[in-house]
Amino acid sequence: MTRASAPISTRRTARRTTDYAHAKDNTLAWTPELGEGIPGNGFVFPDDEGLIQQEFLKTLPFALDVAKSAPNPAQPVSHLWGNTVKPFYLELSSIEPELSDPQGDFASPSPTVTRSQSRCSRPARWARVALKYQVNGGAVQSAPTAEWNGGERFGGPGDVLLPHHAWAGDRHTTQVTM
Amino acid sequence: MQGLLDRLHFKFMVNYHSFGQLLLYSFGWQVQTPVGGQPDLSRAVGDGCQPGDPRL
Repeated sequence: MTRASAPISTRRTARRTTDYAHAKDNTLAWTPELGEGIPGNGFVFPDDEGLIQQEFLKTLPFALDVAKSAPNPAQPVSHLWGNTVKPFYLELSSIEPELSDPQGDFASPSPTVTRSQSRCSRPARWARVALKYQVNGGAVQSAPTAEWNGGERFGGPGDVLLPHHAWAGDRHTTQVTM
Repeated sequence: MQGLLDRLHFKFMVNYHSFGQLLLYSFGWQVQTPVGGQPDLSRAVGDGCQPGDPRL
């Protein structure tokens, strides 16, 4: 697949709206990039009712998912859940050379694809953090941690908090290996 | 548009853009930088590590 890269300026236009809403109201936004209608048309979608309807129908299920998820964003719903698509690997560098960082490549998850094969990366912000420790060479213990609310917070709207996690454990253990 | 946003305070927004095979997030000029609220976004659509589907 080949195509011209989108000019930065047009993407910036789309962002002004989402960034404004995010900063002001914590509105969470997706910007799905649509198709070009006819291969090669690029940013100029054909003025064709049939093609417009097709594109609309393609985007409708996700739009409905988002609407249904709005009452409780922490428990979203999706029409895709339960599908059985086979694992695939997307080599972004062949589509979007300026985003060719291998970290940006996407692999659909599957029990047969290991984490290292999928080359995914996930910031710690939403990872569950567990504490693994041993006491005096005993069995490895695991304990959940909670985000630490102490410390100094700074920054502005839209900034991402990189959390500290803390575990309130037994202070009387003599040798702890983490 | 700004007036509408100021009045309705949306929780979610879908902002279509033509064209490309990309899914962008707010403040998305940086690649691989999560945005505030990313946990909720990822819970809904998944990410490169994990699908959104809680059964997988």
